[in-house]
Amino acid sequence: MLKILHKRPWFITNNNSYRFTDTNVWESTQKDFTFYVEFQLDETNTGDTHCVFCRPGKHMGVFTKNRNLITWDFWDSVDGESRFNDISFYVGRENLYKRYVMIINHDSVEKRFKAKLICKGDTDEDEKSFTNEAEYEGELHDYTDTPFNFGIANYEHDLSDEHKAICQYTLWRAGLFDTVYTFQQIEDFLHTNKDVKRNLIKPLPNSIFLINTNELTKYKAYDNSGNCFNLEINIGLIKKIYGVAPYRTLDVSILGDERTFI
Amino acid sequence: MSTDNNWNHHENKHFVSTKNKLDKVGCGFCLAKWTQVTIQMQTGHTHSCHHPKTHKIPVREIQRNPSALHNTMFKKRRRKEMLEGKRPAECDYCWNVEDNSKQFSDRIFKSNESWSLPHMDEIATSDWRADYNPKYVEVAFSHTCNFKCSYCGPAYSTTWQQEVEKFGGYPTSDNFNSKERHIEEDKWPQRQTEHNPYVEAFWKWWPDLYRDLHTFRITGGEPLLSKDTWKVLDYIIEEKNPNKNLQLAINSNLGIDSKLVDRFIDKINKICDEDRVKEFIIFTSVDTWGEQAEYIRTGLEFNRFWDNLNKILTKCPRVNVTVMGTYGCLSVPNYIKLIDGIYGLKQTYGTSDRYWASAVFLDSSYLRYPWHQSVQLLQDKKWKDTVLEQSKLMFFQGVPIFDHNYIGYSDIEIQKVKRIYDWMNADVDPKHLKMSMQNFYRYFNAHDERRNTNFVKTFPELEEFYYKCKSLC
Repeated sequence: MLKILHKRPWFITNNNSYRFTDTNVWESTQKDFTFYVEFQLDETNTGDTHCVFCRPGKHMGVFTKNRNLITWDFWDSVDGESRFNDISFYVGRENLYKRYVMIINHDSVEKRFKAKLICKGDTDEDEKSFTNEAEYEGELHDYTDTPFNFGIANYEHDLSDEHKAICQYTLWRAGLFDTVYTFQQIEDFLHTNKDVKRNLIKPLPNSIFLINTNELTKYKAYDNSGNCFNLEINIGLIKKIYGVAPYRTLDVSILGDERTFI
Repeated sequence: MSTDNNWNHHENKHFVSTKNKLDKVGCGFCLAKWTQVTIQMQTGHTHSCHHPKTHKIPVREIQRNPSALHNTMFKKRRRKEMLEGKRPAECDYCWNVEDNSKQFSDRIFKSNESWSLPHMDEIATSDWRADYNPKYVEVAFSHTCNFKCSYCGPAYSTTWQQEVEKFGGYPTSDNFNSKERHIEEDKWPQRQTEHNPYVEAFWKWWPDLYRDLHTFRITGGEPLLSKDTWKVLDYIIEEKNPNKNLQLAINSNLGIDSKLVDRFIDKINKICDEDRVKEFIIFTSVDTWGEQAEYIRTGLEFNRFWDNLNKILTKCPRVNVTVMGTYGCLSVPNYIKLIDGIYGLKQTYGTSDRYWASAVFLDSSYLRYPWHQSVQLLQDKKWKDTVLEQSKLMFFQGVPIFDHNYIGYSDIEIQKVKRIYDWMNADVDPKHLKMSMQNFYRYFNAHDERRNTNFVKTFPELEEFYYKCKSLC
């Protein structure tokens, strides 16, 4: 597991480093895709909006809202007008800080998102799950120029906290395929490969990134897809948050929760 | 909402800028031809940059001018070509990389170094005939060595020389490492007992050279078995006004007697504790992991090597160590273990007391000579994929941003392994490949007979390839 600390966000680049792969991560969420993320929020997250994962801008991703909702947000545009959409799951304040898996698939032809939220229990019997879906009319907003952010939505000094949506949480896994898979296929995949490090026990085709947090360095979590879209600590953004000049070294080991750091 | 939070970098702007500046002078312009030199005293050979073949230093030139250990007339003619926009043929290693991949070649890396880049304008406007005091100097005082690595030869190793004296060259098509070939190329090393005019010229040049040096590196043979190495260390220890900007580097196979290692550690600490140099770097070599590494480097005891490496990193808290991996076909199966092992050392010994917090570097260069040990022999896709996986692992274990305070693999370390993969995918002449595969079998078959080794037992992963090579003979 990986602790994503307050104001210490991580990200997956939307670029193709060293040309290790021909897979285009940047356009991967424009067409058919399936995304999953397994997470548990810290109880220190008491704001109205917190970002588990998103592609920023007119954002798309997994959020918690009002301390009682877990949502999948996205935008589309109709006749040049941007419209906000979401799939919301009411979990209640008493359940917000439990461990969840969210699975999303997007059918670009049908213009439909389907979502499943699984609340993990101590045993399989305790596990509860909910499904929902949303259709949209227009064109899905273009996210190709944006990174895949974890623990923060955006950062600019003049943005409100709601738009920054900083979040501290534990991440277990996150993954993306450029294919529509059923929820059951993803659940089977996650179950089979839950303890893997560098090699999957049973892969699913067409993966873009498959982050496991069983294999970590100080700065990265391992991508099992083979595409090398590792989850990385976002040094540049952290420097920006703390006002550290770009040319100065930021010692990530001494940075912790900003509230104790200051 | 803004999307301006993607700060990751994927193309080093410094390298791009350096390449542009070099190309303005000429597409073959490389500062290393001026700023860098390797001098092999045992054979009287030199080259600037380790990729071109060495050439002989005429004794008459050094008698008149000891700096001709570097500024030979041969080299000046190559400089002339570079300044006139030509690509010297001897630098084809870089042309190969530049023409077959999108990676930067060593021409860019070497010219971008702090011992090169500040001198670009001065060199670009210089006369090709002028003498130039190099900033990065490598010398081998002698070829005394207790190892005989499979790709090395008598010019660099006394144990190799003894083997060739006893058995002759290897039964490959080019009669690998034969005495006759060495004599033909004027590379058969002279005896240790004979007067060496190159060493004599060096000590004449040294007081002047020492002041201008950015980096001084002693290679071999095994340098710790040469008295001139200890003489350099004592010179620096005793010098009243030491060149404190000097980066001192010493090669060692770290397979020598522990008393010598302890003596070496004492000298290092004296020099570092009194700030007599800016940086002390130790270069050592290993080409893969464990028993397979021992096979490639005859004389190596891998565990002793690894213990000595740990001992130096423990007892010398300000030293950086570079492990040079000469990446040949025998490196492929288990190089990933070396990558993991070096990463472990980086984490264990990483500290801000060292100039580079990553205490250890893995510098992987593909083996060109002899071609019968090159990775290009392994044309099967699974071996190419294996090398790609190795570079991917290094990327995962890489630093987030190029900065000497982060601990992990740097951009250069990663690119050099990725470059090996790109090189494996370059076109290979089928006739040349067949001949080299035949030579592969002939060489290692004879190796097993001479050195009492067992290729197939040591490299079970390459058993099929070995017999395929045999079937071609």
